[in-house]
Amino acid sequence: MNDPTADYFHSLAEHGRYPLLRATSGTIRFDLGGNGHAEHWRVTIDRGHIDVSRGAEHADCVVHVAKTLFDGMVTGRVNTMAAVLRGQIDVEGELHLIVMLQRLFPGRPPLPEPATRRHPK
Amino acid sequence: MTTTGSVSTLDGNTFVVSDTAGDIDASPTEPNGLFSWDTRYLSRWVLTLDGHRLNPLSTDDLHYFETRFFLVPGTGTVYVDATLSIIRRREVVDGFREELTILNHSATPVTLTLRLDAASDFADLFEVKDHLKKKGKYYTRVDDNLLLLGYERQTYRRETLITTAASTHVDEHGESADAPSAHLDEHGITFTVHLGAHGTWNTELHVSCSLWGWAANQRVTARTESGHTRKDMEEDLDEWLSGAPKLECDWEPLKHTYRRSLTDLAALRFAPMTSGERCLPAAGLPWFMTMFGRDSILTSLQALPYAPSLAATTLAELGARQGSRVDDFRDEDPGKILHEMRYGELTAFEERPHSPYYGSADSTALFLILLDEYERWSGDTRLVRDLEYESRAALTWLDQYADLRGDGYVWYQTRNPDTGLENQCWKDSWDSISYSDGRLPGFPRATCELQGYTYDAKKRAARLARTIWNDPTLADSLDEQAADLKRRFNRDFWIEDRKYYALALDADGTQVDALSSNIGHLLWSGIVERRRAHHIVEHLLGPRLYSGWGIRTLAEGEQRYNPVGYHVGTVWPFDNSFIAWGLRRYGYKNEAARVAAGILDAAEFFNGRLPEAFCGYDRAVTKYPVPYPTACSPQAWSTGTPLLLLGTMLGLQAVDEHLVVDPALPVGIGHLALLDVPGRWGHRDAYGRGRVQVRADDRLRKLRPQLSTLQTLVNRRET
Repeated sequence: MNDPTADYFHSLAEHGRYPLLRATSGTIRFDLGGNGHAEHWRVTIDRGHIDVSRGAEHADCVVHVAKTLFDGMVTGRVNTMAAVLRGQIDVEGELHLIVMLQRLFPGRPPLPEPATRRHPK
Repeated sequence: MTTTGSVSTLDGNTFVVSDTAGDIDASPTEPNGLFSWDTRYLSRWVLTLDGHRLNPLSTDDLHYFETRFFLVPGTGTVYVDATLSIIRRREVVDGFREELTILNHSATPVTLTLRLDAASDFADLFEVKDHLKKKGKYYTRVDDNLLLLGYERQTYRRETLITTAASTHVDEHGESADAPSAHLDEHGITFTVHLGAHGTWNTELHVSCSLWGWAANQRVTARTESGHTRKDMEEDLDEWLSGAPKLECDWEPLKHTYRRSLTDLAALRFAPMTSGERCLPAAGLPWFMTMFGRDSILTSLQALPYAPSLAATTLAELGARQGSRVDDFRDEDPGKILHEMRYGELTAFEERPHSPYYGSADSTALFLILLDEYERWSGDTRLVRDLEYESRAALTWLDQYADLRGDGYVWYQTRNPDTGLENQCWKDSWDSISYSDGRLPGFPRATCELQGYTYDAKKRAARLARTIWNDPTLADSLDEQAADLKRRFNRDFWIEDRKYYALALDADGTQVDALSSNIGHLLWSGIVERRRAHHIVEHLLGPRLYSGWGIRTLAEGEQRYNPVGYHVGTVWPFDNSFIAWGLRRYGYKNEAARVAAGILDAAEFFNGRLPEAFCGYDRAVTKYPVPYPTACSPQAWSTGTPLLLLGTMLGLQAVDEHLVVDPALPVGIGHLALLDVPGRWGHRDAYGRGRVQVRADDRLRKLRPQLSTLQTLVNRRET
């Protein structure tokens, strides 16, 4: 099954080191809601080194967000900062941790060329 | 301030703009209201007594965050004295607090109805600016002592909470008693006031702004446990002022301007949502109370000898928000320093790209310039080490992402044609870049000052690489690239028959040939070949560019020149301050002093507070600097202008471990001293003496005495 969130976290953990976050340390827990249940992902940042695990243990920053929205965030369709301002993401604790981590999320995908958007005849 | 009929009280990005009676009655065109995080939280806040608006006697802005309005009921005729006074004291501290006091001056008790109408349109500043319609729903809630005004669009929610406190009556013997409490309804608050003979009535209201709806999420906004108090703010302002160097001078208005600048700079400090306590300068009131890459950097540069902490925060915060990906909607690239951050509804719904927006082609080079200049002054090598990664990313951006034509210049062209910026240089209005004949060039465009900044950034980064990052290979390569850029620039941008540099190159590499103030920034950058500098100086201080008050953005005689055009003929104080720095860099001391004097004279006419821009009319014609209609004030880099000009007049430079002072004062200033200039040397004093003896009677008249036109005018003003 296609799961952008799981794919993203796996590749995040695989890479391991992120110089963009080398001044950042702390844990973020993502509580991803939807379909009546929540899945929990924990991201531990230790001066640029990232570990990903599953579980609902305590974190410095807890991010409550719908799973479908989070799929959009990790594929660049949804801008994290805008979604926070919209009230679609509820952040508890240290906001700066998610602000720093979201810099690793991709940018908005480019619009398809006009030719490809045209209806086929 | 009161001359424009509006009063601003502010604290970072929360501010109130009201009329001189303290009322807010927002019209579509006027940015009146209580604003916070780019959203208007009150669009109506009108005080009436027995159904009538009140007349202001005077307005007193005690501090930037506190204003007092002295009001009387209208009697309809000058022959009848008012027997009541109303004092309205407002302080902006996490929303605002307003204290209302009514004094009965007569021996007759009275019963009054005091009413405050309250409403909010929750407009995004962009909506106020561009007159856009709202898409969500409004709601209100009334409780015993609170009125909640709300706005909702899907999950987006903004609320204004107005709470009342107990009212008190003090009789003529000084006995105080509780007075009846307020009555609240959906449109405001009503007080029934029984006021005894010579009695005083008093109450207090508190207005707070919520970003996510009241109950929902205070956890994020209130990261600074308890919001700061008025006492904190007073202490903080005292500390700020006492930490800055002391100015001694025989020209009184300059002292006033200096103090005003320091205070306004304190007012414009702003902590972005995620920075905790750290502050950097917001760009300007009312439209730009937010973080701008370019504005924050240039203001921090101007303020380096006075408040070096601004530079440190600006660098750290902009570094933490440096572009990390390609995002066309936001004009974002890896390594690019942001242009502008916004928090309002249009940004939230991605109808505007400001979360943050990266559409500026100069902020990245300016970031490197500030980093180097900051280290020269402060000796803070730690920050330079901390930002090595960001600096390298910035250099990569300049070489790879900014070079849109692959010819070694920095170019810009927005990838967001709907809501992105066309011109991504400091002159960012649509018509600012033109040929002499008025045509507008196509895209991409490479303006000249972008190349200057890039040259300077590379030279400075080379120094940092050599002395702090221990990378002599990078240093050599940057020096080589800079030298090559300078060589090519002097070949491709120089217009031989007019003896100045083109404003830009167009998409074909053709020179955009208008004469503009941009050539002054080239002096600041050092990209001008020495043998050509005198041509540039002649243009800058020649009649086409120099108005007598300052250097115009675009020269008289250009097709698009307009003395009231935003970037095509007005004089921008900050522009002049960097040009004065550039004149010093090339040894033109007297010319730098002349530019400084003109702008500082203008400051006197604006009561020490230079606006963003003023009109480009000739000084001999208007005798006073004519304000530009919608200019922002206070504006950070205008506020920083007198600070930088003091530095250029004294010739302040951080060289190795020393503060070098090489004064050149304009005619009419006898002596000038900055005491306790902070830096890596600890604290040092800088003294300058004028070449002209100032007569005692001129000093009494508070003038730069040799300027007869100014003297005539001031005589006129005084009569």
